[in-house]
Amino acid sequence: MKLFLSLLLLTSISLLAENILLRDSTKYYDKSLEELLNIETEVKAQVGTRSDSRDIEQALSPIDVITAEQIDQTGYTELGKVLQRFVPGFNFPRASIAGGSEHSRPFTLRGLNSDQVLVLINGKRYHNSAHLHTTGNIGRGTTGVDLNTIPLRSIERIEILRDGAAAQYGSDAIAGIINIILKGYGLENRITATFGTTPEGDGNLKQTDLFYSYPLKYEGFVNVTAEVKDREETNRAGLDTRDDPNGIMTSRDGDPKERDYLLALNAEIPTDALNTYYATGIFNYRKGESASSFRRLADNPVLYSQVYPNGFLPLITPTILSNSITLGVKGIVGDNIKWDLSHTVGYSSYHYYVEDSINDSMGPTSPTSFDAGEVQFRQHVTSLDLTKKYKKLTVASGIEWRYEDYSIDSGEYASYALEGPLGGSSGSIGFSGFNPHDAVNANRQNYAAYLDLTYRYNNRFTIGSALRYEKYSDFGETLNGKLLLAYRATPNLLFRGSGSTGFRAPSLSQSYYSHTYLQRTGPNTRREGTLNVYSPAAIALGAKDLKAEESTHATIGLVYQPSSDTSFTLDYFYTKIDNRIMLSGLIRSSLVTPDVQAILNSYGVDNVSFFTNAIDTETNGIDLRIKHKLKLENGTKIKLTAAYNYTETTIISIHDTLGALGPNNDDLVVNSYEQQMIENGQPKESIKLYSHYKYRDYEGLLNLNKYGSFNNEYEGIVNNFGAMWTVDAELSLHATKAITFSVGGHNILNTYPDKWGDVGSDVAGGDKIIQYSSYSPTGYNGAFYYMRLAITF
Amino acid sequence: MKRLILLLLLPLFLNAASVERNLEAIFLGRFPDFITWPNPDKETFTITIIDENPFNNLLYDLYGEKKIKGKKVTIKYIQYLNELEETDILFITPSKLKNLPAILVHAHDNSMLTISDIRGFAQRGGIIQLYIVLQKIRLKINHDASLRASLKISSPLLSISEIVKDGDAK
Repeated sequence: MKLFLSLLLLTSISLLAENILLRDSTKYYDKSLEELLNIETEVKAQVGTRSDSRDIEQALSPIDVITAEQIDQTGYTELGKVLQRFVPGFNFPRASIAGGSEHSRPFTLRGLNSDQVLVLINGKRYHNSAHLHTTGNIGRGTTGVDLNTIPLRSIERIEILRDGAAAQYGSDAIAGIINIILKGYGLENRITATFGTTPEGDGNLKQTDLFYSYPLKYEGFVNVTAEVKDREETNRAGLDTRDDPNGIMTSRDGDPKERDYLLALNAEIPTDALNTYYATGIFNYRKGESASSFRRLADNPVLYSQVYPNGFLPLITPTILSNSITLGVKGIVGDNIKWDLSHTVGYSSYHYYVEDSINDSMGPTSPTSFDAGEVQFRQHVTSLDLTKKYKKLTVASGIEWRYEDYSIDSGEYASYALEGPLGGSSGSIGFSGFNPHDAVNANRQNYAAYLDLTYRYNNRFTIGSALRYEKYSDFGETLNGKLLLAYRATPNLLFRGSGSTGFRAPSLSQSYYSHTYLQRTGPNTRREGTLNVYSPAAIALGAKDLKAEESTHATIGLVYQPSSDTSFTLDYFYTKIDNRIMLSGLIRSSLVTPDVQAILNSYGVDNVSFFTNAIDTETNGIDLRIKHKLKLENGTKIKLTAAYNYTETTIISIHDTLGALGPNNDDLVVNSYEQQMIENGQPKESIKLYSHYKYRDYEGLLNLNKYGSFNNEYEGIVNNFGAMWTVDAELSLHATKAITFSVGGHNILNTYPDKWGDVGSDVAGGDKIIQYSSYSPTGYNGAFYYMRLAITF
Repeated sequence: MKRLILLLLLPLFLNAASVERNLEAIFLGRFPDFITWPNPDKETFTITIIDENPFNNLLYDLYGEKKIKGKKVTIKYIQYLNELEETDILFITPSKLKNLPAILVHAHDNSMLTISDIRGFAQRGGIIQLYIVLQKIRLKINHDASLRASLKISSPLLSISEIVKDGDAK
């Protein structure tokens, strides 16, 4: 009887649903053609599938998409901040006093590092930054993509795949993929100018950009975006009371000063022969200025009294260059086989300069400005992709060749020299130059082949699979697979899940980075700093050739879309990573056993670190998205989104330290500071509530963001920093069809994160010089207010 | 109680068909209001989809009970050009790009209104092209092609479309 009633109920629902389905599909029918052309269609995404792009709510894997319109409405001029605004679980801290990392800031996605996220431009691999983050901040030991090299106004949409996809796209796609689609055909030319400042009156921003599109035959186009951005520094350092009880401002703790020149090119030239030639270029030149720690007169009174009688604040003033060019052609051959052949060249250089500094060992004749050397990274990728659709089955396959080159060039002699009879450190204070011992030029190549199948059994079941083989010239071979399954239980309820394996090849910078300096104490001179993995001293201490990080992924979730105006997605994710590569803690002679001390002595090193496959971790959590749009009777259009992410990363295994250090010294390689940073250094919880209102010629935005609490350790003391809410708002007036004027603010209530507690330091603390944690996901500038003028033509 | 359960469950069964496909399907039925065919005396109005059907049941849902130009609507799905019979509208899917010239010649010789979302469709000789810019549908019309097909397009439709010619430079 129960079964009968159930069947009756289901049948009744189905019949009713059919009627409503019909009503839903005809709801646009009575509108005028003009109204039909004004209806917004679903956002589409290409990432995560080798078949055609599809609506994100129909995707087999969870995807977020940020549109150009949404980007414009953030008021941000940095891509990283835009992603942080819209993607819960995307973290983009604003570290300061970070050895140059301030100018090429690392991000994280769902707790994992930026080198565990693959970044694509129009589906093609974008190159990593040459700069390796080595200071004790989020992202330590990684070289990810510098997102701020990409001009925002060149972007049509950003697709964020929240699933492991190394089996489809190769190395790095562990936490997910960020695919940036540049603007294509049919868009208006536009000039934008943005001005902004903080309530403190610092951090002034002047930015202007031009987007120009030249249309070609068959919806071809040549698009150029040019941007100039000038941002002054912010400073939230406290007064220094070490030498003056009344306190004096000696330091700089906040955003760096930067000037950027950016250029983007995106062109597609379709031909009569049904082929399309395409080209993509991204160019960025950045000049920055950030501060190191203040050096007091008391640090070296004999010397500094002659050169810097009031002490000095060394400045790191790098020149950063990033170029990427893709040339390709795609078309159709044979029986409707789509093909795509392309070559991408990526280049990043980070040239370190130091000003307002000194080389102590050279005495008062030392220069005060230094060329401290350069790191460079080049990447060539050639790929051929083929796709063929056989009714319900889509088959994609392809091959790829990639060549990478990494080099370190030493700086000028004075930047690393250790001269004279005086003790102390070699090189320029604030950032010691790379020396000939560090200089390196290394390269590698790899070949890959993949097969990707998607089978749509019927309207309910879709199954996908992928297999990818790669052979690297340094660490060897890897084979990874992925299985996806989607089941549409009802026309608007989709269950989806996937399981996959993946990997991340050790970066050349992790294998070959070396940044050392000499420390002289009496007659003893020791080399200190980060050792190349292949250096004899590192090998003697246990360093091995780096292996690839290996990952295992699972996601399961559902999409519920009761109408085209409302959607609800919930996804659980799990990622296990074996052999995670880390930069070890400092191995100090004062902390190790006599036999290890003997090794340090025999190689003339101390206080050294090196990269190693150190730990296994598990990351899991959930992502929730609820979207709804509505139109009020007075014509106001409203879009509402609630997004939530919870991510937890746990170290499940610390590898036995190999070599001389032995298992008893594990905590030197993966010390409590590193463990705290990995497990608790980032908010586990993130909430975004954003709303957009459009009424006649006005548009408004109101966004609420919650960043969960996090821990930061200082000299063995763990400090907890509480959760924080911020509010962003923007109001725009479309004065004419071509002119839009906007005013807005980020963190408009001027909220600040918690300050450091008492950590027993005369530098860090709530009333000391460094008052805020560099881990803070929002930074610590407080509010930022801006106005923007946009003119289309 | 059952009624309550029914109401609670009902949204689970509502349709969530793609807005883009919905709009395309609606345009197929709305364009004829602005088109004059040379032989208006046929009994039924026929829409033919060649190759893969991107609309599933959408066209039947929309036009099963409706009339276009005062006529009952017939929907046909075919795979190849040699299966093409008399039709008023021919919707061509992107997988037919390679065979496009032959399809267009045949279609226009027989006064069919050709519609597609194939890239460059209008400049390649098709009559009405649908394409998307920033999530909104845009129209391109090749007026010369419509004249070759002996179709007359009225100004309200032309005024909201971009007019192109065969092989225009832009």
